[in-house]
Amino acid sequence: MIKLENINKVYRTDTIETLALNTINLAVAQGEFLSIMGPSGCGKSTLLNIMGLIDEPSGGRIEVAGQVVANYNSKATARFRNQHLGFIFQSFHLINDLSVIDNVELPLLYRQVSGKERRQLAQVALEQVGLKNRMSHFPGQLSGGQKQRVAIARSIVGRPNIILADEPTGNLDSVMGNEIMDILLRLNAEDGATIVMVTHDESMARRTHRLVRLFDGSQVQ
Amino acid sequence: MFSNYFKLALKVLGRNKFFTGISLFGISFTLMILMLITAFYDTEFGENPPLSNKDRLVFLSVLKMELVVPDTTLVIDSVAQGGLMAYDTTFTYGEGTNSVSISSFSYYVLDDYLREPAGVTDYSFYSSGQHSFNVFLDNRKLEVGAIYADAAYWRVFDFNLREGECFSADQVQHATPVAVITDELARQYFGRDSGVLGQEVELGNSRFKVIGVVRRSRSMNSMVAGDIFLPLTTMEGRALDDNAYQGSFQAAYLLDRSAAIGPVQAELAERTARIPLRNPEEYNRISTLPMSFGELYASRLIDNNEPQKSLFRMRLVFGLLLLFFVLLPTLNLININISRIMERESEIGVRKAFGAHAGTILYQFVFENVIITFLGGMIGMVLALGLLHLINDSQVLPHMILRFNLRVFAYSLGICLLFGIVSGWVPAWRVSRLQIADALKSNQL
Repeated sequence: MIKLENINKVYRTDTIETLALNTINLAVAQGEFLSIMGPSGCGKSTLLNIMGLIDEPSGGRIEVAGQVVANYNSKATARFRNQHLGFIFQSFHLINDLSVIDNVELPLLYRQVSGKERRQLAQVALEQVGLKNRMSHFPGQLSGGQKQRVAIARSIVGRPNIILADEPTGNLDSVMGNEIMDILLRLNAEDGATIVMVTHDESMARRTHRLVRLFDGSQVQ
Repeated sequence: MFSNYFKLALKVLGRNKFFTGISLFGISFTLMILMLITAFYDTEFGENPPLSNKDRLVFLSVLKMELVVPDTTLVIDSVAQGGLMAYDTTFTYGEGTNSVSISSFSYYVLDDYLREPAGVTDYSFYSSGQHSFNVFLDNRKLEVGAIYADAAYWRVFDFNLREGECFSADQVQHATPVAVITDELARQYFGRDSGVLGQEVELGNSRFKVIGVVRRSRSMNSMVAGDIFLPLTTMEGRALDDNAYQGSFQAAYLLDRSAAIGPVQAELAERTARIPLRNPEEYNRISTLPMSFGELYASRLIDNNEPQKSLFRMRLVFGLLLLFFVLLPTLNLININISRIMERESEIGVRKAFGAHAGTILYQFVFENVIITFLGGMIGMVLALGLLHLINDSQVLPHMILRFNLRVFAYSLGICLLFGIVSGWVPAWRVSRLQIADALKSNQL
């Protein structure tokens, strides 16, 4: 589902060159649940961003859902992200001024989907994460765990092939963290979603199919 | 998608009420001024009766008579060369003007020399702007401005006839004492603005029977801004018989729909220049500057002798004023918008991550800005209506009635839209270029 070959990422300023990722080769199979671990600043999020086409590598080849996207223009890349990828962020990144259901509908705004259908699909997604009764609430009225569940609903509403989760339990206590993990595992098991998750939590990582470790930008496991 | 943007725009407005208040005040005040200028422009330059055809009108208003004599200038330059003086003499042959007389036309000149130029459908000779009568009614003094005109006047200027009829060529020829009055005069004179046909109006020593009531022109232009209209043959004195060149008359020519204004102006100027002068020792040159409506308007405001330059200058001043009124608040709003939109970096990152491309983001923020501007525009419109009412009521601009009609409303909407797009575009364009990964680093939503 995702194939990375010799991926490098270099951050350059006038005086310093920092190698964030060093020759990463990684393949994620369809339906796989992969976790990426490593100390802070080792390049986990950069790698996830590159897989999610929200950051560009300095070198190497990426194939996502069978497509080589390097030559896509920004519009085509945006369309590709919209149809194939779903994101979950550590700090939820919900839009506070929009209600829960409006937040969940967001990816569908950028598709040719009628308002009625958008609402229906968003309701189904919220039902999957157990938040159908909070549809008209605003993010400010929800707990951290509930916010992350809304973020998961938003990531799955467009039925993407791949879900990329950047420390989805990082801002939650262990009970809520486990709840979120349960939902992700269920999505993987029941819906066959391919999931790549960055985490600091060894116990969470162990519950996934495979673990990749990074250290100073290189893959060590 | 629209409802999503709309909801968000309203939410963003509600977030910081003080900022929103300041922002809306700025927008609404600017738009109010613009709407006022637009209403003024529409009243004076829009296609409103009785000047609906102003683009097809050529006016003769000023006849210039000059005594021009040859004027020779002799310049002697001297220079010392080797103990001797050398002299260089230059003669410049030119013209000098000994005397000038500038005034309106006599009826005789218009009647004899300036009828039926090519490319003209109709034309009218009239005398306006200098006939004012004081009328005393029940201890009230009314100042009544009269325009003396021929029958063609009513075809050239499309007054809105409220009742009765306008005077005919026959009535003009026989100097029948009839009058067409404005609804405003009817109200002031008779206490009602209809049902006054057949009544008489007394002006000076004459009495005129009212045969028609027209709606008063909202414009201040003297060729139509009268209270009462009388056949030109009823003018007192020898105005029509006098064979002097200058008098109190002007002319308006209504062009064929296909005719260009330039050739008509050229023909009228040329025909005037060829009018034989009876006493060349008094005046040996006669000329006029036929003007379009805009030129006439501008020349009265700026310079009678150079109507085209005056029109250009007037447009320049209007344009600069508009630019000044739009540019400063726009720059200010752009600045405010940049900080307002930059606060939402993270939202932009999320939207882009889920499939919005730069164009969609640009569109969203411009749309939001247009909504805010329209809200400001609505407040501005209410303020403008209030101000127009005040201006009309106080008669700061005598007899001018500024209206907020559908066209002004459409202009105002256009101005709001332009203002919203211009002030939203720059900040929206800047944020739409943000890299997703960078935008997501901001946690503010």
